[in-house]
Amino acid sequence: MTDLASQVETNRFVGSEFLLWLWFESEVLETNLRPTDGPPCAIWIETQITLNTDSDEARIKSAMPAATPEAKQALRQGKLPKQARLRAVIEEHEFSWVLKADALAVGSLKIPTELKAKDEPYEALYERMMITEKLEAVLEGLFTDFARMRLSAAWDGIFVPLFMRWARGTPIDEAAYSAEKAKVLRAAKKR
Amino acid sequence: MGALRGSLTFSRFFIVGDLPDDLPGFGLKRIRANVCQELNPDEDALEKHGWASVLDPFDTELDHEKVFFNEYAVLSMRVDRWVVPGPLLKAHLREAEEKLLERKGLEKIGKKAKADLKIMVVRKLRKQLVPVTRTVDLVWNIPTGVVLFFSHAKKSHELVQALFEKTFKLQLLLESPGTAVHRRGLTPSEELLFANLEPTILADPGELS
Repeated sequence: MTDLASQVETNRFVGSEFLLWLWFESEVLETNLRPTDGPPCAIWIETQITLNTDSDEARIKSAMPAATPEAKQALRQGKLPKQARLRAVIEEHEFSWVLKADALAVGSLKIPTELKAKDEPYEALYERMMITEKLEAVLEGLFTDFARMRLSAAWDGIFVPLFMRWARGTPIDEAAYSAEKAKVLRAAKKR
Repeated sequence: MGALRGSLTFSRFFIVGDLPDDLPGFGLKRIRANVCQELNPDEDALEKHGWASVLDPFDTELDHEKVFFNEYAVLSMRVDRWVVPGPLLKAHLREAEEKLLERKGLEKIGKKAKADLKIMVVRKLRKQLVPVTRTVDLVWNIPTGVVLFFSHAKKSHELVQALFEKTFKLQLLLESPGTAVHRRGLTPSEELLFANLEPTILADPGELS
């Protein structure tokens, strides 16, 4: 495999961890996420989430699937989210899409548009791309913060124990979490 | 659904390599050289693929206005394939075999003759059919080097990567958690750390499913 091809295949599980972190943040921060680079947004999981291990899978469908006891139980069984339908509000735009964790791929994305392809195809395409790029910019910003946290010593030392307590229903101190996160992001930015 | 209407399903790719100075001029020439060619029933090729207009998959007369607008280049990868329905092929093959046996006064057809007969029947049937066409849209934001390709299928990814490289002499790198991490720039110690990451597990040892 070439270096680039191996980059594509290396550590695909990190995509599941990103989705797990989004879920955790969404719950603990009451959906209000603030990527370091990018505008603030509201993000939450809706209607479906699939969690798996190499040998087992749990598909949960409900209005708020991540809030069900089954979802947290799956985490406690060692499963990680494989894909989920997410909803986001970014500035005045609302988005709904399925995030496939192992490829960070977007599926079934619904975006608010005004122009119709049959009337003004290129203008409609331009509008669709402009709006889609707003979502991509937010996801990029969120992934950057996540990657900085994931590659810090605090991931295993501080954040994973927090995730474990959260998966067991223990209330998480939002301020303490945000302070630890800010410390990690500040240190990463200095490098 | 593609780039133009409906919900959006796409994979992201990133350009690897330096853009040519005159991308619209150079690019258009290369795109025209790699448009989708019609399948010919008399040729062996089962499938052909190449570029077409994003507005009309059967429009391969591509000009600047159809491909470049603002900061984007938009194209469709068209894939044409002969699909001869199995039962139809079987019925026509049986008929051809019976005719051959009768004409030659034989009781059985050899393996080689059977294979030749199948090729003939397939070619004859192709003349009565039209190829199955599918298209996948591609939108390239030229300044950012991000390409949205409207399919998650691995086979389509491989096809478009090869076609894109052949056309523009640029590689497309598929987005994945690994490439997303590397794109952010890693220090040597982070590189090593990333290479040795173990998956996060939130289960206690006794709880593992």
